[in-house]
Amino acid sequence: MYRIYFKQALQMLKQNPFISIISILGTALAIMMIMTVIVTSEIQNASFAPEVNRDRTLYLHTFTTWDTITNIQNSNSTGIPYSFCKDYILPIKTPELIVETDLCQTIVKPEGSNDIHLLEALGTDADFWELYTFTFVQGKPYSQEEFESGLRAAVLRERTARMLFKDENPIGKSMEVNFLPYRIVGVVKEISPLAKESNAAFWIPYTSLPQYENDIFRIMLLARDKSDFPKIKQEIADVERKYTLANPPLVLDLNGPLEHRHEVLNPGYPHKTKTEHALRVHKRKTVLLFSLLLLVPALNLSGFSLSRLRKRLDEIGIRKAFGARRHVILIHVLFENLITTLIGGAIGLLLSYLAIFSLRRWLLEISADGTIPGQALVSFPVFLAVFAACLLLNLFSAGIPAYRVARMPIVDSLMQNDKK
Amino acid sequence: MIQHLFTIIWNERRSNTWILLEYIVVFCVLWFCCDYTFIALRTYMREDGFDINHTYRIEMGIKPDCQSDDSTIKSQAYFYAQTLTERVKRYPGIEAISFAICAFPYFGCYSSGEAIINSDSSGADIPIYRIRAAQVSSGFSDVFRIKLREGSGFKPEEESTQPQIIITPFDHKGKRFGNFYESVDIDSIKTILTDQRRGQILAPPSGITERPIKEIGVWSPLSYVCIPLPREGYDLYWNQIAIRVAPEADHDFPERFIKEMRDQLNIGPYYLVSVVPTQKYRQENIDDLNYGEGQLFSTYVIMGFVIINVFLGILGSFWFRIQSRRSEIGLRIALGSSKRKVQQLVVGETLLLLVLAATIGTTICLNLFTTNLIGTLGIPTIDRNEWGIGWEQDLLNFLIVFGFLTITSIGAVLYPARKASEISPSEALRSE
Repeated sequence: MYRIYFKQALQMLKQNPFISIISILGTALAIMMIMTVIVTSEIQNASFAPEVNRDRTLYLHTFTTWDTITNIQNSNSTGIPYSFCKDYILPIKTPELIVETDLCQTIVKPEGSNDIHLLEALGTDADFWELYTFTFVQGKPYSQEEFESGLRAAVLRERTARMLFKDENPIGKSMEVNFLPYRIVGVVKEISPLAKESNAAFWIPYTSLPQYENDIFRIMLLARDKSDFPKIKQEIADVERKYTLANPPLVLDLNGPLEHRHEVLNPGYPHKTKTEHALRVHKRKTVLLFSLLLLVPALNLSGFSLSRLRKRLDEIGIRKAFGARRHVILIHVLFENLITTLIGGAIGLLLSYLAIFSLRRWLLEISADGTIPGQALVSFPVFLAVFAACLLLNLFSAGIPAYRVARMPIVDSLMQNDKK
Repeated sequence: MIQHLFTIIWNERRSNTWILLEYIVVFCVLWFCCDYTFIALRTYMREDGFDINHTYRIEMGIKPDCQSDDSTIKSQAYFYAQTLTERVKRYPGIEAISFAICAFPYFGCYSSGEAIINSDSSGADIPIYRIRAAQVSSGFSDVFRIKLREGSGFKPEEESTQPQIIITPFDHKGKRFGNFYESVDIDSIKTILTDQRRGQILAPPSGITERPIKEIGVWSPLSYVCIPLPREGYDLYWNQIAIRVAPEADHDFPERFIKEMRDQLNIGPYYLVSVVPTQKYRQENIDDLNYGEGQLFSTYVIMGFVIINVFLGILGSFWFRIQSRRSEIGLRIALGSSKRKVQQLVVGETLLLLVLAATIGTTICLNLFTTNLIGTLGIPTIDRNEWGIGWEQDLLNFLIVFGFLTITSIGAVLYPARKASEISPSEALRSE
């Protein structure tokens, strides 16, 4: 039966090429917009090397204290003080790993050169190399012992190594970082600029930074399994309580821990309530955007479907006269329309890839030469999303007209009288 | 003619409902996109009271084995600042240099304070005005070309015998001092009592700026109360150091300056980190406010999307309509209607629908502005009263959106209208 519907749908498309093209174009445009939004968010949330554990990671980087007597608030939404991490966060037992990072601007002068470069370095602990899976082209990361001893060692990314040492082998060479000598112990393969948490020009043990005890850190908590999230969140809430009890009249707000999908949307507010509000607003905005992207083309296509069905009222009347039931007519019309929608959907998906590649600076805030990992683009959830979007659009655009023709009395259908 | 068009629209009400609905939705979307774009462009292009072209911030670092609050460094801080000033001034093309605390434009360092006007003490019935407090060195108004309508800029400390205070108006007319909620006529100010880091200062204003200083990133406009940066306030690491470069010298300036001055600006424990154009900070603030290029581009994309949809919708719907009304149009032509008249009929029908939608759409949009619905949906809005935006913006929105939709609709309906005018009168005869 569906084969006949399929053939009929194709025949209809051929019969009226002008309207077919307009319908397909309208659908493709809508699906392109929707898929661009979905794929962009998928790219920001997908796990890919080196950030392979995004779905199991929780983030903390806000430290707000509120003095209940003077009403003064002190907040830092970019990091948590070292002493607090050491005393309160590191003793937590549930996470598999607790990683601290400290991003800093550095002045770098490679050995045997007078060139000075301003580069971003990420101070990390040794567990950083377990949480994030970098591919080492040469050398290896610094070990736990080297980290603890505050060894001045650096791991460079390929681009930095080329910039500082041209074609020479950088392993074992040294460079001055903020006037202190560091030895290069490893070089890692280039990473996508989309890996925002782990990105830097080079990585060093944060214990090698002078006065690191006065610095502030971003904290990543890796759960063994996603089901541990509530437990970890509870532990952080306990930490807040413990600190508040030990330091009256201060009340602590750590504004987290946030899961990755919330972290990418976090506008950097210092308070839990504000962040939660911002996330709620974002949800509303997304719903509004999707409704708009579906509603406007659906109104268009609805008008077309209605006009197209009007012309076929006699055919539908005959089918009904021969015993076709309402739901059969309904399914037939929806199925026929779905073929058009799916053709438009496929074109739309391809166009959305094109849009993402050509507009990546705007959509993903990465440079024009930044690579986008393939698995984030072509994946089962993405295809499922296209199908769901097509189905929804189909239902919105053909639902009402199909319902109306399906319940029209046979005589009216045969007389092509749709004024009732 | 219009009554006749209404009759046609009413007879085709089924399919016209879809078009009308689409028009209304698109009208509202375009209205808000238009409003947003205008406010973003206003923000982008407005005069902020600073001239930041050819100005830069010199960023200094402190060497790892030193700390800025070290007492020996602190005691030398003013001397280091003087050394830096001399060396930078000698560099070709430098027109002015200044040091500031919480005053560098768009830098994100704010210090709020309070001021009492025409009174030497605070009391229950004496109003206190919330203001922005800033400490700047004498070259500040030269670097950012801040024009004073009264008085002169700060004199260096040693030349001045009395406390100096420069104030700015907060409103766009340049008449009021204070903030949106509490303000006073700026010309009525005889003395200002202000509480800043150096303790209380009571003095008549030594200068009033011509225009308000409105920094992007500050939601509500505030008056500035500037006092001279005291000797003990100098610190190359914590101060914001600003320079103005002559336009003819402003080619690859940061790279050239860093390369040639790096050794010279290795002063005591401080070293030169970077030279950043002020424009970059402004752009970052605009981006943070959701008025950046990216957000504007998103708005254009949404506008483009709905306009293409309207175009396709009108094109398709009227094409269908012409097909189903061939006999009627044939009859009109048979009875003497010219091709032009048939075309006018189709175009008129579209435009009348648009006028209906625009009326409903405008009512919806104007009412939505009075509620906070737009804000709760995460669409950035600003308080129109505070920034002096009135009904003229609504009129502009209406005209632009209506104009846009008229052009799009006429463009879309022309092909079906031409097809309709080509219908042969014999079609009317063939029809049952």
